[in-house]
Amino acid sequence: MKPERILLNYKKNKVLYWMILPVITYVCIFNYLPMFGLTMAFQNYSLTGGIFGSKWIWFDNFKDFFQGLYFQRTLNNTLLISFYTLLFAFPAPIIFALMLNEVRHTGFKKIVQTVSYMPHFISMIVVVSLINDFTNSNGVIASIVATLGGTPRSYATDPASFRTVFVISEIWQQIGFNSIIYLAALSGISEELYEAAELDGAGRIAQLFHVTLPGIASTIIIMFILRCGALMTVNFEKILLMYSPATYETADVIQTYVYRIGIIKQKIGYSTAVGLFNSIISLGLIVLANNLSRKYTEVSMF
Amino acid sequence: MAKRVLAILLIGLLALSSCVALADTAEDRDAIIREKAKLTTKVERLTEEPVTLTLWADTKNNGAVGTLMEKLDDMEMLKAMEEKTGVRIECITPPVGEDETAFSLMLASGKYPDIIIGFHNYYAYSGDTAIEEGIIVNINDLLDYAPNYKAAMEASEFRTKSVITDEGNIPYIAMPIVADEPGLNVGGPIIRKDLLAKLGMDMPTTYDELHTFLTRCKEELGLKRPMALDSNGASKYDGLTAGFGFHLKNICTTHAFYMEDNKITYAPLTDGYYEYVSTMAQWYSEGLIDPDFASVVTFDDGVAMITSGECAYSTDHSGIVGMYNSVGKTLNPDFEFGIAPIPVRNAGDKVHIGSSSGATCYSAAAISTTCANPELAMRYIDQWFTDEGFMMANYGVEGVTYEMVDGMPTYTDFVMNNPDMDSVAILSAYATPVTWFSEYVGCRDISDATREVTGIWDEQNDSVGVIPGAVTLNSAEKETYGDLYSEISSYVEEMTVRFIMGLEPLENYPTFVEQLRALGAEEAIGAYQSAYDRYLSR
Repeated sequence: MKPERILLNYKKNKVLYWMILPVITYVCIFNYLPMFGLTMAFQNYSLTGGIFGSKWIWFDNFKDFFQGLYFQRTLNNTLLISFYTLLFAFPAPIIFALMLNEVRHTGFKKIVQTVSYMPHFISMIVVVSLINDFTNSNGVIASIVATLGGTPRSYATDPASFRTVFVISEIWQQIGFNSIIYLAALSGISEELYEAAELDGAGRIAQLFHVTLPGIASTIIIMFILRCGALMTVNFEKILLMYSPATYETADVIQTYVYRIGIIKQKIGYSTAVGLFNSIISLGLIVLANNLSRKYTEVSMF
Repeated sequence: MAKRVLAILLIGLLALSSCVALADTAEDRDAIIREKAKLTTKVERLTEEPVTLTLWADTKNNGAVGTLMEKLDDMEMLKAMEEKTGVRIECITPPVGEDETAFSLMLASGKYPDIIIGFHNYYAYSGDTAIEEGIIVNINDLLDYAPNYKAAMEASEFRTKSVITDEGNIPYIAMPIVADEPGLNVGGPIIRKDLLAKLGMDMPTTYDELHTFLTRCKEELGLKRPMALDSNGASKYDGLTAGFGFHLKNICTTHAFYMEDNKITYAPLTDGYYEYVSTMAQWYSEGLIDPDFASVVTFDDGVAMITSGECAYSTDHSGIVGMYNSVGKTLNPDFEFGIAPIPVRNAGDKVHIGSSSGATCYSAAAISTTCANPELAMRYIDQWFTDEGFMMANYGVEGVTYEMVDGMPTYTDFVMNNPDMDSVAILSAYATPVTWFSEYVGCRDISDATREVTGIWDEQNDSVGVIPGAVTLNSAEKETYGDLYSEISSYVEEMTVRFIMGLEPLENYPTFVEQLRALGAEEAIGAYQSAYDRYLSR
């Protein structure tokens, strides 16, 4: 573009450029500038030496991680927890929204919505305390199992139950709040389409599959792509609060491992390397999901 | 009154020695305290203009935070010192139970407070490294500003050897907790005495007797979780492991090394460790150990668990027992935890490791490199080592926490027989927490519980297995150790819990040891061994 064209463009869209400036500044400061810190992944980073004073060891941190004891396990756990969350916790709010959509009594609908939002607004630490109280050997779940004739045990420290507890609590926490976006999409579907379908003799179920679902499909796909990008970033704070050495086997994900090694054990370079590995995989996944979606559904983000 | 003060002053001036003597017996200690009570050296005014210094300290074992006071700034001692010296101390109080994380985050932020207490407890490497990395200053350069501390430090060879590192640095202002022997046990097993009486049993002294007690608690009294265990499968202050001959976790060290026949040893490679893990695994399967032990992570979780009345045996700091009892009594008036001997294999066995500490262990303060006025910080700390500072740090406020009886400071009923509060906690609020800098000698006399502690635990534990706190790694050793140990320790932690809970069959124990060797456990031990050899030839 020629300079005069740029100037003309600027004059024409002055207000828009100024409006976007704060956002660009924000992204630069909080998203791009910190990337400089990734250099730590290639160093034997010392807190006091800083990035300029630390020894460069290039790929040794990565090598240590890939050959180490926990690579396979943390990667497996990250992917499995993510996969289960995607499988069960992703469709849950959609189904919930569809069900709510069929409810005709507005008062009841509002009460259900409000109640289901509530867990989202409870602080994570409180949620995890609740989960622990429910799942320990004295908790509600153990008591129910006992009355049904089973042997009660502590589900909080049982590696075999960790993922189940995690995913179920995840659904409970997020189902109401995540359904808002689908409810919004549902309200955007024109009533005329339903009337037309009815005239064509479609029942409630047929309407659901031929009018409602296609109407919110693009929203679902966008949400799915976003979720795929976050496949490697599971709900880190929650796992950190929920797990213990007893459940590391099934609960320790890459991010919690990074936290333990980097912040607690002060091996910062190494943990940066592990974190960088995690980010690269995430980037790959989001590009893949986006391309697949563009190819098959013509909906994509970029 | 004025005459008496004058007389005391005159006698004090006549005293020839700097009145820092060595205490081998209780009489000696009394003599020192009497001498100090004469207040020969006073706290000086250091500045006319008010100056503020920032200070970081942990809240672990400090029963006063969250009960008697909201944060460390509320300590009476600090307020009194501010009045006399003109130096205001602004404390950074980490949330209770979050000391380690708070410390690491502080280190990562690069913004250090002026004075850091307990630095050596949380910093992964040696004091020399911390100086080299420019986190803390070398006290050597500031010693001339602290004549009182210098005199106290040089009063015995043991003290001097303990605070000076291989490289001739003095990273911390440190004082042994009790005069000069590194022998006071502050933590160990505790037991529900009321249940013991109810069952008509004698105090269990061996693992077998303990097993019987726990079984009877479960079967006859219906306790759901007779014994508590730490979330990583260890017991606090080595209370349950010392009897098997090894050290795993106590207050002093960031590592789990100890000495056997002058050789540095790492417990998971020994037979004793297998014995411990298999015993605990058996007890766990019998339901004698808290089934939720692995998820009892925070301080509050632990308190709730102990005071619920379902637990009969645990290991803890003696100072916290009073708090457990006052909470537990609200539910059950009979509730009474008391000190129990460290369990051993055969009655009468001695243990060589426990909660007693090396000299730099208990009270050590560091001055950070970002301190704008290190001389002032040093002079301020030095005031704690004057006679007046000593009295304030050990005895608190005259008329409230102590009274003078025949020239000997004596704790009041408010401290000794307070139904609501533990003595150590009261002194943490009015005088100083035991982990702070000061020559701390009053502790042994504080409460019946504490006196009982020194009786049982001190007799059992000769502490020869403790690696002296002054053993420090040089840079090469540090690198070897630092690279290896963090992974080793998390592996051990996890596997210990898994063995105990039966998630990993005990047949796999040899694989575990093999894996430890593969992770470099022996190299990590080697690093400590060479540092220890150097210390011996100092």
